[in-house]
Amino acid sequence: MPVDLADPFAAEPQERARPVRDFAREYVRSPGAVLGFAVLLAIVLAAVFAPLLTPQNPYDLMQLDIMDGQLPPGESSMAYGFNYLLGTDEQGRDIYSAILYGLRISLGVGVVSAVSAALVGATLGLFAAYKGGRIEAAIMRLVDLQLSFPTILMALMILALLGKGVANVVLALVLVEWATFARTARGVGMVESRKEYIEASYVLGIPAWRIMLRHLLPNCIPPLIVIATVQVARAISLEATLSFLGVGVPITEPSLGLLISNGYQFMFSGLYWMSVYPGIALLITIVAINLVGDRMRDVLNPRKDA
Amino acid sequence: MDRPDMSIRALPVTPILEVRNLTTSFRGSKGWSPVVRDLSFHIAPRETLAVVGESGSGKSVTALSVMRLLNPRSARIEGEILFGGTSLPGLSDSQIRGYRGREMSMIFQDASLNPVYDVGFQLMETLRIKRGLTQRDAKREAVQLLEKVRIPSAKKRLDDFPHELSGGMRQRVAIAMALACKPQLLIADEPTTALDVTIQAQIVELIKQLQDEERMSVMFITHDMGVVAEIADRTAVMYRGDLVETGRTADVFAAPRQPYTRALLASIPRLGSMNGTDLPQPFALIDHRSGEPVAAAEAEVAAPPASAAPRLSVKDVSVRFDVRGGLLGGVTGRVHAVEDVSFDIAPGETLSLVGESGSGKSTTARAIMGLNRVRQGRITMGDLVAAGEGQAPRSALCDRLQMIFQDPFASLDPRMRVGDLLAEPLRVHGTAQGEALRTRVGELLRDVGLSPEMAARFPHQFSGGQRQRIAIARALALDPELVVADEAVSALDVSVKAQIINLMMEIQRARGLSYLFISHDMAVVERISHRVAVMYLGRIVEIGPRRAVFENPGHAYTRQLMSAVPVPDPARRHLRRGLAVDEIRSPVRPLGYQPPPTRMIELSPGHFVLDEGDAAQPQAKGRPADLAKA
Repeated sequence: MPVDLADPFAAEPQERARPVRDFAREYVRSPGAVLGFAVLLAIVLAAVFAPLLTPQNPYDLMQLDIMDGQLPPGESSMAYGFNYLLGTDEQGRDIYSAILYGLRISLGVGVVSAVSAALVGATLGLFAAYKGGRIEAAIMRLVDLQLSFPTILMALMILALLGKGVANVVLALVLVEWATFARTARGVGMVESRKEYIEASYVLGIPAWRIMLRHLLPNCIPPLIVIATVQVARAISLEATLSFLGVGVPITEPSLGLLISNGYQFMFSGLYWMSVYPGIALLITIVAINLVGDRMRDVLNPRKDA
Repeated sequence: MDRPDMSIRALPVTPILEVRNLTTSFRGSKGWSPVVRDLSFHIAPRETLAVVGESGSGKSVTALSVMRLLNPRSARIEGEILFGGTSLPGLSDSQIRGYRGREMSMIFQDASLNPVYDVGFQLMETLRIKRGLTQRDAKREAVQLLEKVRIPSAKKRLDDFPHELSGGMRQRVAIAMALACKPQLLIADEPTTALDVTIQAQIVELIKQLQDEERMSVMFITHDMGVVAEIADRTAVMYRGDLVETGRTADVFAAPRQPYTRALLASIPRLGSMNGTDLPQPFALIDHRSGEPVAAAEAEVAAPPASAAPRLSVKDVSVRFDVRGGLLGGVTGRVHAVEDVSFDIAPGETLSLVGESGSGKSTTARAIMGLNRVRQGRITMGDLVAAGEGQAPRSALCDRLQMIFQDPFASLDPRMRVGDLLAEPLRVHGTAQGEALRTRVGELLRDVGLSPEMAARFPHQFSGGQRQRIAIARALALDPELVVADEAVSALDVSVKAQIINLMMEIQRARGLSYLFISHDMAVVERISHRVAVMYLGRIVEIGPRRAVFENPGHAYTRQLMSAVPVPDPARRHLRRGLAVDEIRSPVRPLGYQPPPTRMIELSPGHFVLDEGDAAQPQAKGRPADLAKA
């Protein structure tokens, strides 16, 4: 067969796409989002390296000194000599250290629950989108049912049944969050599965599971990443609320929400720092994540050119 | 100076629009890159200039530059644009707004109407704002405008919303809107590209007549040389941002000076060029740089063996879609998309299905591929049932029956490398593994005229034509007996179209492949087919050997379809036809509608025409909503 390699009328092939680099270049155009990312990065690093950055391990009772209890910010420890930057609680626990250790629990719960919810929700949503018909109707009615309950009520009910514990909180969060992912995944999946490349794969006799996994899923990822980011923030604040209400994480593994709750009783005695500083830390974390999420939604939105 | 008329006539005509050394650049990642380079042209009063070129040639950008519709932050315009002596680039935004719509108007490919307002409101809005008419005057003027663009019962149409009108009618409304202020220049950017041939012919005719009546100039942007030949006084050919050639249309067609123009003209399928021959024949292409003929296979494709059993057999197939409506979502009617269709395809044969949108040709293809459910009848591929009762699993059929899709930008998974795309079916069906797999992928790429190294690239790194080659390679991966090509070349530029068709014929000769070729383009169909079936409203109205159908069409619709095809020859410009405003009828039928039986009359051996007594006339016409009331 004669080979004409040069398609004489071919348009110049586009430049090689570098999705990650393009994404980064587009992302940094918003200064607020860059700030959000920097703050988030700092928070995550602080949480990961908490033992190196803190003067005491707030949950090692050997390191606490009851004599240092209820010190305002800036006071120095009598026994150890270091400075309590943000004050101490009634047991002499350094609030600054407690916040960094609390961030580990809060971020951990938030990320693990959002990722698990994304896995469950996206799987069901894409399955519904690809299969259609009764399977889709059944899954989507379940989603509607789920979304019609107030989230906090649902989570409270689940935790009332299961009891306290980090694993239980994660489970509760997954159960209240999967529906959002399922709905988004189905929406994107339906658009994608009507495209010709999905039909072409079907015509080539490629098994359904492979079409969903290898073709449908990769093309639906960007919007799911955006949802996942926002849901991490939602999960963190929900967990804080649950912990504040006393049904969340146990006292042995305190998150930011539990710190706020513990300090709350001293609020009106003028010992504001026990509750306010963990609250500010929570606020900054959530704002930073939302800044990043919003920018990602702008950049990854497929209709942004239109 | 008592006779000013005379003195004006004596002077050389001042052009309405004069563009000198126009360069338009877009901001990219590497700074400004020119999309249109050093372009100069002019349009005289009452003249039609066609700007013709393939995608990426910069023809639309030129029009947008003239209208100043480009975002100044991302696009830069250099050079001079004079409109009736005024320099447009120097004007302020509010000044240019006075020109837009009033002095020069633009119509686009898909009629740009706002879907939430009715047609009358949108027309009257333009009239009130741009011409300062009162509500009453605006309404009367709107009716007149709709009548001017030959919309039947114009008064009633004022209350219609854009979605209630067909594509052709919408384009008429858009033209009416553009003419609202009697502009001196109408810029039409691919106004007929999204329309069916018969509707396209009507719109082209309409623009021609309106130009006469309104005494305006037209800048007609198109990729279709046939339309150019029909409408243009002068033609400008563009290629990748450069003006290649301009001249009187007749001269450009008769004696093109540039190799690119020659190559472009050589690649246009011309209806009637195959008269007197029986077999499909590739295009004789010309290289666009040297102007020399491309050494392509010129041999015709052999006729299929006369006695062989058919490969694909479609028997009495009907496909219907439910139309739901009402409070409870009950079925209120059915789209009879395919009605009682039967045909066979022999080994090595190409059967083409032609028809306009809504004729059911794509639905037929999709039914064969198992993408649409068959309501009645049976499709068999050798000893296997492809659709209908006792349907074989897809995995058993996919090495006999494959498909090429219309849009080469949508039919390849954007996240997979070309090599993986081609290897996937082979791997899934266990045809080849490891080193053998890689060799096979290389062979496939070479078979479609690409190089094996391209396997490592992603689809978006290829041009449209190359992508369609990849799609063909993938369809061939499992070595099928029959390939369904659903509008496989419709989305491609003319020259690429011709190459892909040549490639398909080449593959057919090498492998003895059969094609079911689906297209709305009669001229392309004439090139590639052994046999042709014409579909209208879900039925085959005529089927037979290509030569018989094209040279001796038996059905009125076939003749209508053929006369609507624009002829790329200015010398044979159609005589003014009466302006038909026919619309393609709706295949929506009420519940319980019984289609009349299909009887075919044999005109000559193998050439059948649908026998339509008076029973076959579609009973229901109009929208589903009307049917529900009935």
